[in-house]
Amino acid sequence: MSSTSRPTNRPRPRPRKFVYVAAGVLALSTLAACGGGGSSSSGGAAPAAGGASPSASLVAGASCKSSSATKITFWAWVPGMDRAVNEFNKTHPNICVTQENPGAGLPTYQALTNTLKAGSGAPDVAEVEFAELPSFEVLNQLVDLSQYGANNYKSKFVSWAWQQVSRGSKVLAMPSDFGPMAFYYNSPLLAEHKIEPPTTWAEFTDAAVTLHKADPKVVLINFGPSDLQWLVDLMAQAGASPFGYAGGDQVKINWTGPAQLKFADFWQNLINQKAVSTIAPNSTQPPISQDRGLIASELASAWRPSYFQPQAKRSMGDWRAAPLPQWTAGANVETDWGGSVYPVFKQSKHPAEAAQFAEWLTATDEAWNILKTPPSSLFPTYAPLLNSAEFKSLTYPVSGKSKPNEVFVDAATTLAPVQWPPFMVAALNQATTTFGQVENGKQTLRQAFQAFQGQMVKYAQQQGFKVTTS
Amino acid sequence: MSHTAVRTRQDPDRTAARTHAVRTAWVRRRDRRGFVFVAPFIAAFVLFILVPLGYAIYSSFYTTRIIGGTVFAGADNYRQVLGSGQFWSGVVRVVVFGAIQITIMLVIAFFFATIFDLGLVKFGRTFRTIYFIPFAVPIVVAALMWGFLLQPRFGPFTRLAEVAGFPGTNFLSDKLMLPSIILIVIWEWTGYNMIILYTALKSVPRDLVEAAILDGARVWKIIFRIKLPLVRPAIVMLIFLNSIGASQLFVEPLILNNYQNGVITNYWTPTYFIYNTAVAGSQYNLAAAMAVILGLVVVFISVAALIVRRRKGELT
Amino acid sequence: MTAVDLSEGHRESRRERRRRERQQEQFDAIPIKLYGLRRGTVTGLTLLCGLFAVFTLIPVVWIVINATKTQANLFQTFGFWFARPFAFFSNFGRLFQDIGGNGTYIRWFGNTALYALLGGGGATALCTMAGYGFARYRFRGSQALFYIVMAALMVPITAITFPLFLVYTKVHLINSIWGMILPSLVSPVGMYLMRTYVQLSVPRELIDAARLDGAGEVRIFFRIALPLMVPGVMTVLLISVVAVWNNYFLPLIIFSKNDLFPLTVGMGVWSYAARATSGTDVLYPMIVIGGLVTIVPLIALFLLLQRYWRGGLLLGSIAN
Repeated sequence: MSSTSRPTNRPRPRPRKFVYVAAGVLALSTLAACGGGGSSSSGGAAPAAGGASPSASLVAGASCKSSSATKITFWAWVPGMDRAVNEFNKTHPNICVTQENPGAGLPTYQALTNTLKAGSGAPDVAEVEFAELPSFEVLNQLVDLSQYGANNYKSKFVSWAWQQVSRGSKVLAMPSDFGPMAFYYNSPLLAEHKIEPPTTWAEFTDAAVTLHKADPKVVLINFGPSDLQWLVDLMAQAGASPFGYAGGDQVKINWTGPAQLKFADFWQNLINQKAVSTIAPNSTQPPISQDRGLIASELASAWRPSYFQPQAKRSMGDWRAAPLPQWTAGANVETDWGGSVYPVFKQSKHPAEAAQFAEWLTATDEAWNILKTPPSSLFPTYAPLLNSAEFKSLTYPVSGKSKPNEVFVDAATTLAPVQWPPFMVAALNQATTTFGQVENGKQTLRQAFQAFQGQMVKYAQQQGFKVTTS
Repeated sequence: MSHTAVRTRQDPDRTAARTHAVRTAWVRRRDRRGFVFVAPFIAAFVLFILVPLGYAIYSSFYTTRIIGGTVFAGADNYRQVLGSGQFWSGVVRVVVFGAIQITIMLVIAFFFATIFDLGLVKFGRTFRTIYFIPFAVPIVVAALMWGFLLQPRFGPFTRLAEVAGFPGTNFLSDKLMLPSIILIVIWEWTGYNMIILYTALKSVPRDLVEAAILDGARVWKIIFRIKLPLVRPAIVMLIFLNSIGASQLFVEPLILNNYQNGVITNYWTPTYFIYNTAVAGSQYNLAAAMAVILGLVVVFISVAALIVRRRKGELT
Repeated sequence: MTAVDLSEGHRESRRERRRRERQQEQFDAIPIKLYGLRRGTVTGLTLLCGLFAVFTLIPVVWIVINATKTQANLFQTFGFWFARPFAFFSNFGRLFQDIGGNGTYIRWFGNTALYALLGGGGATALCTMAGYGFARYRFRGSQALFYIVMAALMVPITAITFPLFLVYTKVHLINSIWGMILPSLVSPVGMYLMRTYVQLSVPRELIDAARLDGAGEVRIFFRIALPLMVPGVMTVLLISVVAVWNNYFLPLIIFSKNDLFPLTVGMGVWSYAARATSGTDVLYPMIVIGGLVTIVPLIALFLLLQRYWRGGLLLGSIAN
């Protein structure tokens, strides 16, 4: 090859300065590469093996007094939880809790599942929703808290909550907050059309049809079945709970029984009449539409007023709570949507201290005095606070002078039991696709129920469960 | 050392022979030294690509169940993936996506690169800089921004469409989701492709163009007969890299799924399916089998393209 | 040719250099008349370019405008105009706070910069060496090795990330910044581009001559080859930094501490949390202003470094 055959597009030589810059960059990054332990040079692997992030030690050191304290790792996403952790560390010098937050909901469950399966890296205590607890129970990864005195706290909690976290005398987790549901509505808007809050689902249908006829731009409610928790909670109120799980390798999946299909047809009727909208429930749209008076109500849980508030603008002060409509006139069956519990994982090297923290966090006035205030604003399963006059009479600017907690607290005493599958993340994921077809107008709710039944049964069998369908 | 000095000392043939001897000696000694330069890269490559890849292939022959643990599954996972209409519908979708998106993008990129190269616009430098800006936007951020812009009912684009006489437009509906994602990806990558083509066009020797002009060639002829053939290798490489990118379409559907349920199914693209199967479904082994098959599909398409091009004699 | 004095010892200022380059460009360009085109063509094409520029800038303009809005206004006012109250500074201030325990933006920003610098810089170093090694040396198995690396381009990233996670749990790289940085060091595309660039810009003769002069291989690499490779190195640096900056999947899986997150994962978690909590934490404006603050320095960096990598992008054009 002679030099003349060099391509003519060879770049012009650069001034020397840049050579030095480039060489510097290279030198720097070569150093970095070696420091990474990629090579076998001595000491190179040290930082990798240490694996400690400077930040983690910083956080722990900041809130703990004693360096000899037992170290507990705690995952939670509730806003303002750090205040409670700091308070605990201050009052319990022998234990040092470090809070981490892998992200609300799904990111946390993914990280938990990954670390539990991998055998290391899981926290001692974590925030988990009620619906997700069986998914960790089935992995046989939960410490039975009864051996650390958890049953002593039983009477401090709403009975529904304790039922959800215990199996006989075994305690899988400490319950924290929850969300009894109510009919939460834009009161001037309904009043304008002379509609009273419905007390039965039949009245609900009438209200929806009347409202939409009176003003075709407006619907009574947004029905978003792809939010599986919400859907199953409403089905539980109708006595049509589609899942059953009581530990072990047996799971009940029933989306196609008479009660379930009746529930599906009830809502499909409203969808057909366009008396309800079917917008993606977790998108930004429903709250905006609600604020603009395009959606007149929602089937909301107790934490809703404080959550909706920052998004309300035009409808500030207009929102009121009424008990859920009933399937049988005069009945009083309510249901819960959401809420968190705090299990201790078997990977923990200090289960006693971890349990002590979980119990303090959920069953003491000190913790609740912090967690009831913003930004946490949790709705307690802790009865002393729940039933206090002060809590019931709380007001929210979005609800004007009304006291929504009166309705929500009342609902807490008559909650329908509900059970969750031991593979909740998979179910949620599948639900977005399957029930999304209903929101999309491509399938009826009945068709989606039937499809979902097949998908869930197949998945459960693949995962080795014994499936019953009634 | 000057040229003449060499010639006076030795005759050309002997010089060549000596150089050859030196070369072979070097070749032997160079062996190890060459490897030293390559070794760090290869070490990282083995540790962070081959080892996990091998592990993925290995685990694709097992199945892990919540009840019953891990058992050998033979080709079960593969059978399940190969027979899955959902998986293949995803494959077809990214092929369609890639074919449309890459074509449109390269046409736009080539068009602008050409007019910049020929100097047919004012402020060319400014435009090139502007076009390159999206490359600086991380894909997650780009998808979040476009999600806001295109969201149904309250997105600014939706409202503009309303004003323009298309009320009720939903850019993220069943029909428009794929075009919307094509639009987003075109936004993200056209500038980058354009710059590469522009630089390639710039490197076409000026005398070739001048000679053509003297021969009376029109501008179209210069573009398509002279410039295009010379930048074909660049285009081929862009097609290859963009295709690999298309086969791994993931972040855009993941983010846009937040705005509209049911359109982005959990098997919408193969990579998204793999993600959902592994992360949400905890069916890690099945996901591994999907990944292996997806890799094989990409290899198959690439090799097929290579063979076609070789047949046509385009490849040296 | 050009009017600028390039005599020795004269260091041209930036403005002079720009002018020289512009003049060079004008000089290089062939007059439009010679192509047989009318004058109006230029105006028309410039307008067309303007249109595409508008398309390119729309999201950028949107994000600038909306970074000044409160959460309610973000959804309730028209996206392409400002609204009262002007919330830019309060939004901006919150970038330095831990938002409801979901994490601190500025921390993620620092992490991303660190990962990009070490990962992208390291990848560039490895690619530069390996590209040079593959282009200018032949050793046993070099061809085979090269093709294996190329084939790996086609492997879906998802296929590698999960096994990597399982390996990490064994070697304690979960929640370690090295778990993020080390895999970022491998860039088959970067290596490929570097190899092509070396083949074109570092003549064999030069290396052979240096050898005859008795220079060692390392010295040849640093003193002779590297200076010629600078535009290529800059391009690969750019590509690898952007790759790390963009990486979403790996950090999503290996980090459970939000003070280790890079921007992509942090913003993704914000986006998820904003929906999960229906916006209680006023996270939507944070996502918008966070997006703005993420892209501004990158754009600035690109514009500043433009002349270094522009030449290097050539290497895309010669590959085959």
